Amino acid sequence: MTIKQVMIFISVISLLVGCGEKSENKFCTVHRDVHQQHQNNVTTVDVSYLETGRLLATVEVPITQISETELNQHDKVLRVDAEQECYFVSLNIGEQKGVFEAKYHVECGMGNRLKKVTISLLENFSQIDEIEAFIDTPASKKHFILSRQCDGPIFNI
Amino acid sequence: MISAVNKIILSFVHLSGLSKMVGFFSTGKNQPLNPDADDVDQQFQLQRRNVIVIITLCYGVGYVCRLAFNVVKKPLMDAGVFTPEEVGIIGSTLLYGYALGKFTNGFLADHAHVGRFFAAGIFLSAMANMGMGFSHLAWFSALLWGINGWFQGFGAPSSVVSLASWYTNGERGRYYGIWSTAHSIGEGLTYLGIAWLIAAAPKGLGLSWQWGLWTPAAICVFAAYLLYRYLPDRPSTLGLPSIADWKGEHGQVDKKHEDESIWKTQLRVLSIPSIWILALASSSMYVTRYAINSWGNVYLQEIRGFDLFDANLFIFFNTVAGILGCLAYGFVSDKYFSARRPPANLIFGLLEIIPLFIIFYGPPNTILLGIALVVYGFGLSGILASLGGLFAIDIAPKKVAGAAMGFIGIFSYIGAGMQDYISGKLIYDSEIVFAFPANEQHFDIFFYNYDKPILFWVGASVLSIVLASLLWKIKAAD
Repeated sequence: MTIKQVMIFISVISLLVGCGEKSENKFCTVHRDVHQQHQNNVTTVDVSYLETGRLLATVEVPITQISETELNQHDKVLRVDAEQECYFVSLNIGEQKGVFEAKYHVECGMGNRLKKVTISLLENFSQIDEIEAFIDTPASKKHFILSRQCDGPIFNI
Repeated sequence: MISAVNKIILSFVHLSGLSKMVGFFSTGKNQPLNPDADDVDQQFQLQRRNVIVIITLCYGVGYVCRLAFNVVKKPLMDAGVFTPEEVGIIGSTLLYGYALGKFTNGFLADHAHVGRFFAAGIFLSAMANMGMGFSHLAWFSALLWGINGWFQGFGAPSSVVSLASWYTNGERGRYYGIWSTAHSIGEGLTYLGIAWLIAAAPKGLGLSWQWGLWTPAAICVFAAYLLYRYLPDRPSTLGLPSIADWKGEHGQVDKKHEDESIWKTQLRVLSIPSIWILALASSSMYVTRYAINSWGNVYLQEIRGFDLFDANLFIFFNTVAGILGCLAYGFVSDKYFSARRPPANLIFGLLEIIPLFIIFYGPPNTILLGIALVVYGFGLSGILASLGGLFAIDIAPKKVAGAAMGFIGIFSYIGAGMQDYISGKLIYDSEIVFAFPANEQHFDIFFYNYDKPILFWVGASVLSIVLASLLWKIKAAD
């Protein structure tokens, strides 16, 4: 192989490698590593769904982002769809260190297959920019971040 | 009746001018025995070496032309060429085409010059891959990929006909084991090599999805040349004695049917009850094999919480263990059980099923999970080498090894195809969506319960081992 051929080969490979790059939102790429720094100011949603059909959702929101009245309107926060109707049982709201903690309790009943849980915090409360969610179902658990700046959820935090 | 059908087929072939082509692919006429014993020895040594190297290498390479589409699925969807549903349909046509191909080509391979037959199959498969790179029409791609499945079905029957012709019952386990490593070699070449070509930089070259199909096509054309050039016809067409005569190793000889035609013997194979039991056992084991192949990666991410890289790493170790499992099965069954497969089937079956219980029902320990996946891959590959072909070749008369393999194959791949549908349905039925609507985006997080599919996958393995154990007393035939 001549030097010219080697140079052409290297150039072609470099071009091909260069073609493969895709621009990504830098915030979303690095956020899982820096999330800890502002974790205390982020809204969290912790959902636990048990085999018995009990669904408990705990929402913690800084008081600067939402009012107690808004959290009281449970339809604006949480909707549950199952094969048969689920019943809203209770809601408890407390406040501690500038954060509202709202606990929603929904009963779907044993054998009533849960289909969809809609959490509308980002849709109804424009001051919430980011949610950290912990969801636990009988089959699996997931922990992720949702940000208005990213197209998809950020896993593996 | 059979001879009448034969006559009709032959007269059609003659009249339609296909006789030349059929002649080209037909096995040669038996030549007078070579009287020079030294030359016979040399010929056998050379051809036996060629056979195992060529069928292992080319079957492995041929796998790339079968799996390439799996690698380009996501880029195809990302580019908006096909929807996920269309991609699913295209992918499944190969499986059904392959099931049909393994059956029909199994019967044809018994009549064929396997070097030419296998070469034609892999060349046409290369052409199908080439065509896929140009197609943007879902129906055309589905048709082409289904036909590719049929062409892919030329390889396994040709390989087992070669194994039956060039290796004795007592050594076939080891050679079959070596050949079976081709599956893992092919998977490795595809999921590392082809994926590297089209993966985005810096992990890959970032070529367009078309290169993920055209590159395998080029590789398969080369493999077709090697097969055409180096894979020999049967020993008798080269003036050599049968392998059993040359080695002086004979199994049970069925004197009653010794002189019957290949067509008659092929049909007789279908009336052997143990072949049916074996077909069901293989089919059940293919359910587990394809379940873990298709859903294992997703399960590890969804339920066990691994990221994509780690999940793939587990599957990679599982594949590497598979290579060792194939080799070990052949060695163990030949050396320690005098080429009796049932005891080895039971050992490898247990090595497959115990790790399955640990993976799905064991404690959530990453190291234990890794070890269990490796042992599972080892056991599964071993028992699949037997149930998916080797044991059938042992049971069936050697001159119809292709038909026996084809019969097992169609059952196995129907099992695999049905598995994909049943598993998908069971998983989809358990879906829970956690929706987080926002004004501009909409985040949906899906949760699936794998309890029922796991029961189905593990149950299929248990059934397979029970069925295989029913064949405990079956012995190899000549």
